[in-house]
Amino acid sequence: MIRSLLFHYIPYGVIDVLLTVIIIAEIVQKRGELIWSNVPLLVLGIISLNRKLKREADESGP
Amino acid sequence: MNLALELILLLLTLPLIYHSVHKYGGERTYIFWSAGLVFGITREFTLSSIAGLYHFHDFLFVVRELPLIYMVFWTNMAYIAWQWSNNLLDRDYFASSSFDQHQPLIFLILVFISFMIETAFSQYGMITWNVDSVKMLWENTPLLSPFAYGFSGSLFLKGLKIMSKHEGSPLVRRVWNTSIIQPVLILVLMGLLLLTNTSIVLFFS
Repeated sequence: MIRSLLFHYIPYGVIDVLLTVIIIAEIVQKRGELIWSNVPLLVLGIISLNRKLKREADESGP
Repeated sequence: MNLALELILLLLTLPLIYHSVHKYGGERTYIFWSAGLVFGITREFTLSSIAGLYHFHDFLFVVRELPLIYMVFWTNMAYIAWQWSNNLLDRDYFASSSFDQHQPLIFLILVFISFMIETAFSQYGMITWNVDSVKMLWENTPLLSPFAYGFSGSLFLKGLKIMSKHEGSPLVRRVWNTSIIQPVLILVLMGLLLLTNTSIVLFFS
C-alpha cells in the first residue's frame, strides 16, 4: 500500500522538491512578491493527486 | 543556487524514469526520453541561437553553449504534465480521441510550471529574454514565456501520440521516427510563438 502510494506520488514529489527549493530561495532573497507564482501549480498538483488517490481507494474497496 | 537548481533538475530525471519504466516499460521510456533529448536540443538551439529570443547566462553545466539541463528538462516537464492530466481525467492521453480535454490541461500545467521555473531562472539571471514585449510578468520575463512552455509541452506530447500508433514496428525505427519529427514540431512552435507574440503586441498596444 505504502509502496503504491509512493509510486503514484513520484510525478508530484518531483515538483514538490522544486517548489520547496524555489520558495526557500525566494524567501532567502527577500522576493516575497514572487511567491504567488508557485501557488497555481501547487493547487493543481493537490487536486490531481487527490483524484488519483481517491480512485485508488475506491478500487481497493473498504 | 544556480548549481543546486541545475543539479536538482538533472537528478529529478531518475525518479521520473523509474516511474515510467515501471508503468510503461523500458521501450516506451527509451523512446520518450530519446525523443525529448532531440526536442530539447533542437528547441533551445533554435529559440536561443537562431531566433535569439533569449540568452543563457551563469549555467554551470554547458555543452557547446547549451545548458545540459535542457537535454532532459522538456521531457521531464512533459512527462509530469502527461501524468497529472491522466490522473485528473482518469484516462490515458495516448489512448484518448484526438480532441479532448487533455491538450488544454497539459497546456495549463506547463504554463503553471513556467511561472515556477522562470521566476527562479530570472531571479538568478540564468535566462535573459530579448523579446520586445509591452507586457512583462516579472523582471525581463515577457508574457510570451508561459505560452512557450505550454506550446512546447503540448506539441511534444502530440508528436509522441501520433507516433505511438506505429507501436508494432522495431524499436530502432520507432526511435528514429519520433526523433526526426522533432524539428518539424519546433517549426510549428516557432509559428505559434510568432502568432502569439503578435497577438500580445496588438492586444496591449
